[in-house]
Amino acid sequence: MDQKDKDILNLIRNSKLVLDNTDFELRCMQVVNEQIQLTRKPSAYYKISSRFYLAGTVVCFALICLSLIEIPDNIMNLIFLQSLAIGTFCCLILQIKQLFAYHR
Amino acid sequence: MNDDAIDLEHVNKVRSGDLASFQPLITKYKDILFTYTSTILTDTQLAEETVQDAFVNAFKYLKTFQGKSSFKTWLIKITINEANKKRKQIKQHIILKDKFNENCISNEESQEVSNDVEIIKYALKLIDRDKSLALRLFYLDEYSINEIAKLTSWSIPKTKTTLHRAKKEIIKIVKEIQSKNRSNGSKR
Repeated sequence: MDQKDKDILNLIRNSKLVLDNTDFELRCMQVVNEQIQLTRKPSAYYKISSRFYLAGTVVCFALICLSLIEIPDNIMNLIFLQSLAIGTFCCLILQIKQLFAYHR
Repeated sequence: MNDDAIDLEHVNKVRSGDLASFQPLITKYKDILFTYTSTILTDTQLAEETVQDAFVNAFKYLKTFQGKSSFKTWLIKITINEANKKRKQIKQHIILKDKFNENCISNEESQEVSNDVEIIKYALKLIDRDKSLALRLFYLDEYSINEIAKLTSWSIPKTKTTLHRAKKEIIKIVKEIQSKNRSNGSKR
């Protein structure tokens, strides 16, 4: 490699490109701001989760009440009903979680 | 105070909640990041979007920045990853110009790139993107072979080979353009 070749390679030091967009920085800061807002406010996912949590509590409370008034012979049916309700609840939560993961 | 210390000061301010301190970092590094994204992606608009995404990602993960490397190196690593991700996503048709074809430089084009800096920018566009990236990292930011290997996730032998071939290729292309320019000048 002679001096001329080295000179050519040294020209690469001046090959920096310019992002010629005047509002780039503002736009970038705007997106960063939006990102902050998004992390600060409770997302829709948490809102829905909390609703499900409340609904689940109500269901559990109802089942407990039922178990109090039910005769002991039906206790197995009640356990089955409870597990069915909890299973459905878990399924629903998983579905919603997947839905949000898809849209994210 | 050197560049790294100034960057670190800004980073610490952003971490403590002063968002405005992020803007000087954008101003300082947008051009160099754009140079790298333009090297990896052919579309200028996409390259610009990638720089924006890189800054947003950097902001998001600023807490994880440990200061083992300089902020600039950390930012370049994020940008290269982001650009490579975009490149895979869009599945662009990559034309590898490993062997420079004389016909790809028309006389009209070579007339446009008359000064040396324009010639080198043009030549960097013509060669394979990995080679172009290696050259820019080596000469523009003066990264060592080891650092380039870390930034690009290549092995050290691959980095050495890519850089060696890139140097040979770019010299050949630049000489080609210069001789065409000279012959065009003498015709006139």
